[in-house]
Amino acid sequence: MNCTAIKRRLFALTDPADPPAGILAHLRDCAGCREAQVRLIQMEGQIPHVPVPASSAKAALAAKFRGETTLWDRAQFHLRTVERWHVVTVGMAASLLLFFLAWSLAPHEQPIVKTRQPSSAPDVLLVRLVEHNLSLALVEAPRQQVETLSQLAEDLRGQSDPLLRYGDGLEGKESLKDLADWYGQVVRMSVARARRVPPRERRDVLDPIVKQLGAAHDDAQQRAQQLHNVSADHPLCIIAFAAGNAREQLDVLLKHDMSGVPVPGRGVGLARLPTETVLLRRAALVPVLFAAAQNTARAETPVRTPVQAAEQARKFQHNRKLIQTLVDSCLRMAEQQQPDPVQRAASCTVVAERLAEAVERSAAEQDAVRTQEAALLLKKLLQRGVAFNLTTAGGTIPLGDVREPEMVQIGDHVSRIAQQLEENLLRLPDAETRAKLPKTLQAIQDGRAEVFKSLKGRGAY
Amino acid sequence: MSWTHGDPSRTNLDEETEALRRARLGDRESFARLIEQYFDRLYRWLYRLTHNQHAAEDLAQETFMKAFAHLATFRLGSNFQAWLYRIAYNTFLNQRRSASRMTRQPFPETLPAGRESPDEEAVSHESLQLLARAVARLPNEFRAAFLLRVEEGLSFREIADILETTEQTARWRVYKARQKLLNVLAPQLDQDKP
Repeated sequence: MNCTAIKRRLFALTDPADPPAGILAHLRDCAGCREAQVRLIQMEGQIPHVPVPASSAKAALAAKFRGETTLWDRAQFHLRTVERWHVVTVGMAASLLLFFLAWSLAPHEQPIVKTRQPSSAPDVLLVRLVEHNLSLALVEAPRQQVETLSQLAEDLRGQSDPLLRYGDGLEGKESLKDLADWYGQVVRMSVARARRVPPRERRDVLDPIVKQLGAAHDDAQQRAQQLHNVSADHPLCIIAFAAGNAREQLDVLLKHDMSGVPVPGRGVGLARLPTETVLLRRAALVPVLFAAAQNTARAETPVRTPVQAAEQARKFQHNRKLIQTLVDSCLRMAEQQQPDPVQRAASCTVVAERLAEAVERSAAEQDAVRTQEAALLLKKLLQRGVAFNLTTAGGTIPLGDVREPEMVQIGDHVSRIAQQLEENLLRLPDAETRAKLPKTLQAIQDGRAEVFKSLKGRGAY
Repeated sequence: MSWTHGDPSRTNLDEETEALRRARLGDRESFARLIEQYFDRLYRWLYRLTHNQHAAEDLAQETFMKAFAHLATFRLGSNFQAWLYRIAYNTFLNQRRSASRMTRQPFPETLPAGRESPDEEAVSHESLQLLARAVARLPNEFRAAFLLRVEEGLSFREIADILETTEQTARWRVYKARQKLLNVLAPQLDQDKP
């Protein structure tokens, strides 16, 4: 082996000071290669001695985790748990949907819309709405808010077709009208939040949303045109208008960014950003995973059999109040100029109360699967929406502070909700239904326990 | 709880795994201990990559923040250091792509006190300056791999894991870095010979 090859191998070793036998033998006989080895070892030996400026950042960062946790830290910490749950939940929902699709291939000429049967299929919309609530209850970055709101809008819009085709009488019409109103509110909120997204991120965040809104506008407009004598206040026209308007506003926002003309509300220039803002801006990896998880479970235009669509319409109508509460809660949390964990916890508690009603109703309808599903959603909301935010608030609100009663009130409210629900469930007349309740009751207890834990040391907790 | 830097025993690895497990459940104290364990090394590596103290601190902090946020995705029992450094390196690359605000800081004028004579100190200082400049001039990927090998003592496999490349490429990058450095520093190394 010649010296060039030896040196090449030497330089590619893990440890040039400890060459294998073949190279070692050569080195014994070759002063030139030995010299190269010595220089390499000498040079590498000096590397650790190249000075590095001392830094106090380690102590500051460790202290932050020990006591001075920020909302961002906690949000990031918990949001990844939401992601994991969301991936699992959406994965399960997708599997069950596939099963339902296979089952529904049995020949049915007309969809069954009139008969109210307890449904054992999971309510994907409810699951997603709860996840959106949790997302908005945890995140602070405008980017994540905008993305969540955009997903929420799409989820709502996805209900328009089933309701249009299989909505039941007056209730169906009112549900569709509500849906269109909520859709409009959500896209308007997303535009308002989009203005707070740092300019450097806007292209990445808003481009897909603009496309989505364009598709939503076109789709709603096309479907409206297929109907006869459609007035301007028809829900499809409202959806089309809201989507088109939002798309235009976002287009304007992006065009202003490109031209360099300052946009009102633009708070970040090209100068170097403060460290915290950099962290907030750059560390938001969650939306990518979050959106990916959501997108795996949802096609752009979901393909449904008539039975599925009819079932979806029925569920929507059945859960209209709960859906309204979920959407309102999302809007309320997105609206906050400064994230307030106590308010977020309170908002989630309002949703929890509605979810508790859904648990009770499903149990009364002897729908064991839906009962447990709603109970698990309730547990998740209590743990991550309420308890997490109370824990976060606890980091900045000392014991005995003026805001402490607010926190305790939330705990009391949760206690009442859980207690009432448990009592009502245990009073159900049907023994078979009561026999299926242990997991449901456990979920309620777990959720409540987590909230109580977050209030430890405050009030009577 | 503590573990030995650079050569963790089985017990130390178990302790680190336990700390990670607790951190995943929300124990911030455990994560703070992980910060204390890894911050200096990570900061040093990032400083050598960026040659900018402030940027290195920012990157290090951001890395730990991201690590904390994504601790659920870390598989307990796998190489936490590699995972952490991978986050750091990707963050470094992202920052390089989007900002050109890296400014070079002059080398510190004073070195840590040693036992060398004034003449030896002067030689060391100059040598170290030349060495630092030569390392700083390496392409990012060569420099990153080289420093992981030389300062962190990582294997090529671990380096490949961090830089998200193959072991062969990691080895090649270190090889190229060594080759370039020796070409540049050969005259100085001759001078420094005893």
